[in-house]
Amino acid sequence: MGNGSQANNPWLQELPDPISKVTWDNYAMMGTEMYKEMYGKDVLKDKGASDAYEVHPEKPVVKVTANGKSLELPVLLIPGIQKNTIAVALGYGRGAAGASKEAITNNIGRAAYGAGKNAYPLVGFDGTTVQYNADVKIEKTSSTYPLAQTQVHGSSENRPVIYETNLKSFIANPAQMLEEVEQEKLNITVNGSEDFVKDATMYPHYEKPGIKWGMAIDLNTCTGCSACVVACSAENNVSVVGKIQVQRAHEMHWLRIDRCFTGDLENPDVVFQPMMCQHCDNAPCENVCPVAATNHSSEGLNQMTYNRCIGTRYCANNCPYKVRRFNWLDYTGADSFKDNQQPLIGSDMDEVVLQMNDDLTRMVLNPDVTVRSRGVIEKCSFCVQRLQESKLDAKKQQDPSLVRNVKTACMQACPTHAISFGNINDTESNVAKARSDKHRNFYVLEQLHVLPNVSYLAKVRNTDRHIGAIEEGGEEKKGEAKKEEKAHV
Amino acid sequence: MSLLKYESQQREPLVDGNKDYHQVTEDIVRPIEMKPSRLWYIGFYISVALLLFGVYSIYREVTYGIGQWNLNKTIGWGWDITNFVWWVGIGHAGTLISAILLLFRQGWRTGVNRAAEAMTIFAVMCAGQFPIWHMGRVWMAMFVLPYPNTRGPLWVNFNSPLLWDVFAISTYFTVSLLFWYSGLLPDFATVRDRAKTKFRKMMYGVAAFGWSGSTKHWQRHESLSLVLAGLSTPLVLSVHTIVSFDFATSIVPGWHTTIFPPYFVAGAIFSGFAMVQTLMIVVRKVLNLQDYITLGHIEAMNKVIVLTGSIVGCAYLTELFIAWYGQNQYEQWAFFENRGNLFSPYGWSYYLMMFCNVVSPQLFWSRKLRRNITVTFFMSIIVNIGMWFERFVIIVTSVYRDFLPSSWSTYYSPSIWEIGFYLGTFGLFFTCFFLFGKYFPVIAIAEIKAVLKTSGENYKAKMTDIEKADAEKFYIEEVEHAH
Repeated sequence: MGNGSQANNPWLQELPDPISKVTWDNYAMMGTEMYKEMYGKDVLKDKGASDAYEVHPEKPVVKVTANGKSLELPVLLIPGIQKNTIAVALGYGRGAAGASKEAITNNIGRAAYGAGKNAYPLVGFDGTTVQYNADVKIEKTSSTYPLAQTQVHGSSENRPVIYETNLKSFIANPAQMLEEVEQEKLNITVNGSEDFVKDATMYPHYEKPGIKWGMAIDLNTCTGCSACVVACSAENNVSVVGKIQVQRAHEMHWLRIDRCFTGDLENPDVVFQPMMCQHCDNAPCENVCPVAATNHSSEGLNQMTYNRCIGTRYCANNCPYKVRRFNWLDYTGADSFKDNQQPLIGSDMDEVVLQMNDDLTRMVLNPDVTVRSRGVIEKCSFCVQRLQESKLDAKKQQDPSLVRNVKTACMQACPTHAISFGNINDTESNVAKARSDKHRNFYVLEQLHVLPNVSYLAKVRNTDRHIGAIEEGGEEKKGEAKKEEKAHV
Repeated sequence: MSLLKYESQQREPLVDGNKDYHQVTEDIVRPIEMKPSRLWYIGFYISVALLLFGVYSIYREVTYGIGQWNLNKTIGWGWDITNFVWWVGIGHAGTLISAILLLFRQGWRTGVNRAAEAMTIFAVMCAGQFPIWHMGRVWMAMFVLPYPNTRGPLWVNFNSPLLWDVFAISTYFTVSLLFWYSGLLPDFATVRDRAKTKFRKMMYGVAAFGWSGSTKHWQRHESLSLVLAGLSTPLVLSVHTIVSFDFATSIVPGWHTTIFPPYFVAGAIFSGFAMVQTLMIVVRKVLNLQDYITLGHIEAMNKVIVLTGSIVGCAYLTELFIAWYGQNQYEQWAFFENRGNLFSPYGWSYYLMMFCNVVSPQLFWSRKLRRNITVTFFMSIIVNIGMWFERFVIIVTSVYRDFLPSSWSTYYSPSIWEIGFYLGTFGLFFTCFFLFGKYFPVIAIAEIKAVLKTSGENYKAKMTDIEKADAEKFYIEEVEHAH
């Protein structure tokens, strides 16, 4: 939001904060220790309390007083925040104090209205400099406030989702980090074969010649900035659904950044993991669709046929990565039912959805991408419109190597080049080169044998501290014991 | 005289009181010929009101989207599919009674089969609503039917369990309806023949398909019943097996379980019999049919309930054991955290299910409680609450926290329109059932008459006299002849 100048940008408002994963609001971020002191619940030890905290969007509200001004804000627990410190974001709650809804929507914009509270009164000014820190007084109130969070659970629960280590141990034994998963793959494979793809299933194996699209994402360079998420929304006409819908976990983002707290939760590390459709070669979503609306292309894409989809949502249930998004309501005005964006009795759609559908704003839509109607599933397509264009280009120029130039929207927007994409059958492609980093290349939940086409390069931190789950020798046990205590925040 | 069938005096009579054929007809057809009671009207109007609320809930959902429900990106199915499986399960008791018990020649089925079959048909009608209206684009629902079309090579996906459901449920409905209706023919003819008004004569005349009661008709009727019983028998097992495949063939931890088919079938019969009990206890009281639906009938059904309830209990424990023994971390999480941990967000639903389905039916080991109407009525409701929660536990507590912790869901509770849809199916069910109670013979008259002379109380008493007079002669001449 910056200083608030971006407050009327629905894409930005709906973009989850990299750490807190909250949209459309600001809040008082608080460490676990302070929360324990104020509310008597130790979410690090008491699993029931942390569960109860995470599954309800309603968060307790506190009254924050600083520089003689006070503000009521919901409390958001963020592990790792210093005890006796709270953090509040600026740039929210646009509009003069007490301004009417009309004034705000007319002067600033509909997206800005109702998004958070203005924290500027708490900021001090000593005559020369604006002071962004101040002594504050925090009081409990009896009310709660629902926050629209896109991710509520912070730990990976030791599942084979992320891998990380420190530089020292990676140099000492590069194979160690992925040793366990490699061993488990061998355990699943039958007849002593080492080919996990071919021999860990009872079904026949198909060769995949020609183009096979794949992606590799380097967790080392990903900073969690989320530029890719906005780029994806812009490229693929992904709907903005507004605060109320995000609260109900109806956000439509094809690409999300999963944030994972690791290590000591009082001073955690964070791993960011961009997560989108993994385009599995053995996709669990494809075989459960009764009408074959989602299927596999000969180029390794998991495709969605919107016209065919009847919306049983079975594919979304069966997707282990939970990347399929359902059009719960008519977010795009592309529906055959007239005027259904404004139900007669009550409305659970935000006005910002209507804003995104007025004649002028609709010009932002990418004409190369279908606008999805209500009742169908959608998901990452690997920017299939760009892939198609690059193939046509290569054909016209009679130069197959031109498909190497293709860039997905997320890849193009990534400031740190964490995402590489291309034909994995082409050894010269970016993605093939990235994947050659054998000791870091892994697939999320690989043991399920869904054979994803997106791989990740594990995070190696340039530090001597012990990182995450991977510790050596006697300390491993200690690490395990600690993990048991780990709460999910 | 000679007996066609001999029934031991040890057995309880299936028809109480001093009945002859005419009295049976009188007792069962009288409610059809009388004006319904005040209670009937009250019940009927409440049902219609619920039905209308359901229709409005569906209208909301279809016009504004599935977003009218509180499902989300992680929980794709909630109350909708829970209710679907629950209703389908309820139907199973009717089919079991009409088909399997017919083949096993269980005489006691005659008292309850008609109403139980009606229950099956209405329950399947209710069940069918959910998979239809839970579709995001229900106006494209015909895509699930493999009919010749102009969409080129696009065809249904035979790999999908949802498609198998389409076939399973539609077959089930068709066969059940045929079976029920063919049994109704002679009874409709009875009502027609007694009709005093022209309109009633015409309506029941059409419904009876010109049944004349000739030997040829009876012979064909008997053969058809056997054929349909033969067709229905596998359906008792297959329908819920296929419904369980929706879950068992997926990869979601907590769904992906090979034990599901037998476990679902047992659970279906369990909940179905509980529903039959709920309905029968009311029907016998309201329509004054205590002589036909006796304590013996209720006890027999309670025995089925304790048996199937215990099978379900074994299945629950097996699941827990396998989750531990299998050492699959995702499955362990589903069973020991999402469900088994009472303090996890949905832990309560698992323990409620355990209590209702496994602990409470054990009361029925006691003969006294099996024959107690109040206890039976209360238990039948408890069991159906428990079986609803079983489906809820399976569906919601599996998906709400599955593989990727980053996508774990917030707390799911239904919206008013989800509840409205469910209440609406109750409205549909009871509207149908009240109409059935008013216009249809709720007990199979012809079938009761077939068992009356061997199992009726007065006939058994007469038989006792003959037996006592000369036991030896009786056994040699009559009983051996009969067998």
